[in-house]
Amino acid sequence: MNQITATPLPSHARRPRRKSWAYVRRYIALIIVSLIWLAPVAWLFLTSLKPENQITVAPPRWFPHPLSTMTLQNYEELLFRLAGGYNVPRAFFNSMLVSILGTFLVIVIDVLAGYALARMRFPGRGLIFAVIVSSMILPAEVLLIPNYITVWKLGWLDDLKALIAVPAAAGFGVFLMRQFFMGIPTDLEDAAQIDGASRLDILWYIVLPLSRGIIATLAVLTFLLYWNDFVWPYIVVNQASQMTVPVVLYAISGSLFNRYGALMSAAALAALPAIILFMFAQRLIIRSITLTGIKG
Amino acid sequence: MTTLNNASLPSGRQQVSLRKRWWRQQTWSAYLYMLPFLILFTLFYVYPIFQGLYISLTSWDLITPQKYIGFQNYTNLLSDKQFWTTLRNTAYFTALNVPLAILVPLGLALLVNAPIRGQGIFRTVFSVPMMISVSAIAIIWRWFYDPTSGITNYYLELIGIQGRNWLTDINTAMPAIVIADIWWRSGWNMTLFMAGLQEIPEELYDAAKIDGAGGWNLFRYITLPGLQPTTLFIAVTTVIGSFRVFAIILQLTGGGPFESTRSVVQNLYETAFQFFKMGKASAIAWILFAIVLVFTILQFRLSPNPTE
Repeated sequence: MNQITATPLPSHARRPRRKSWAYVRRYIALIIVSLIWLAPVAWLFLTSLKPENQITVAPPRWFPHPLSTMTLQNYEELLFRLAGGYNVPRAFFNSMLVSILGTFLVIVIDVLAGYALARMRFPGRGLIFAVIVSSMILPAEVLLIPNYITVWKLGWLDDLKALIAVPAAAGFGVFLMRQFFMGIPTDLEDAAQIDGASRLDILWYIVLPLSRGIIATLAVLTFLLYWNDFVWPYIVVNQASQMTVPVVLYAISGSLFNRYGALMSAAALAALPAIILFMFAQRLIIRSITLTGIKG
Repeated sequence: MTTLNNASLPSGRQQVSLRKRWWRQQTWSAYLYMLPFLILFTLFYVYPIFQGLYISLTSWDLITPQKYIGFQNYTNLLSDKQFWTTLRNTAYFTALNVPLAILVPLGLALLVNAPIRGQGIFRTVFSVPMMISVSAIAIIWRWFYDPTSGITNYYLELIGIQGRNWLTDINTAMPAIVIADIWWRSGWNMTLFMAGLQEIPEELYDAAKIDGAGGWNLFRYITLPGLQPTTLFIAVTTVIGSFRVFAIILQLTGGGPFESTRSVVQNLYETAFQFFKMGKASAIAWILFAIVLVFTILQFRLSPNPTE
């Protein structure tokens, strides 16, 4: 871990002295590939802004034509009428609630557990850590049926509690936090302990301020996992009023199958929070990949 | 630091008993810190493993009492035509998906990982799709592939390729799914490759250049070996992910045409939550796990050891 931070990042460290032919060639290639890559997302957002009569025209037009015909009527229809019998604003509320509470829960329990695994000695520590690490290779499908039954017995079917609690049980966050805490020098904590600070004080006043970056990373990754989760909510929730955004999107893609304007605005609304969040946090996420050495 | 520590502690017997008490306290508070996570982890991760194994040995529809039937679910699956169909489909998806899900992100990473202006913007462009939920991805691509109003056929016909209904044609449905999936998820593997590239020491390239090595040789003898651990990790996780494919297929084709894209997990899902054969579905889950595990072990065995 330390070596990685010590080696300079070649891409930033060295600027080209002269813009050579190779540089220009690479630039052109990058622009072409980026445009191809962006096309589906651009199509999604641009279509959501087109008036009804411009949505399926041949030949296809990318921008509303003329630009002044750009409209929010698709969004209006989606948000203020029941889209295909589904309440989209309600689904957004559910998704936000599940993602925010779930992220909060994960941060609290994973920071506590990761800290205990990194800094405290107790019988069974090695075993617990080994179980957490090996749990990360388990395909989630193995857990699907038993967890469905547990949730059913708890009376949590069609209940947002099930969508919050079950994904929070994953061990990845604990692993991430523990790896990070192991890398912080213990000097400060030792000094504080000698001065009589309690464990909780040390965690709160010394360790957490040093860990803002990694906690933000875990929060963003967790939020995105909750926000985009499809299979588990799809199985647990049947009632329309408890559905999250991905489940409602799938449902209305059947009932509004050729109303592309409404569908695109729904998909755009679903994608927007995640894209914005990611743009802000991209650097953090990339750094944490290097930090944990998760790529081997 | 050590001297400071020793100085502040009482010595002799007193120290031993103090230490003991400190240890006990430490143990208890450690368990308290672990507790909230451990409750959830045990309830929804550890217990379900054993429960799932047991369910796979029973016949159960959630209504009539659970009946222990030994390994019958597993032996039945071996002669279950539908199970083999879904397994074949999933293997086909994996075979198409894995090479592309390694090569495309590697290409993107090599392209982006250079000293150029706007590197961050390009990286963001390739990462945006993976931030979008599968349902939105499916809505976009179903329309792209739509034979009457989709834009895929329009642009293909411009360059002289005959359009068709990509998602309902038995020959093209799976490749069409793979293309959408590659576009959706390449950002993640690209990010991993970029992290791997930045760990290759620049001096290696400088030394090779002095020896007169050109572009291809630099790539062949320095970049590729340097990326070996990253590539192994990506290969393992991509194989696992491919065998677990479900949501994107469900939403693009629903498993059709003629079950040609129906995956193992879709079969599992329908067996459990539409036909309520919990025992059989659990057995499918465990067979899937076994397959994934075998592939993971094989990949670690077959790949050359990275020399330190």
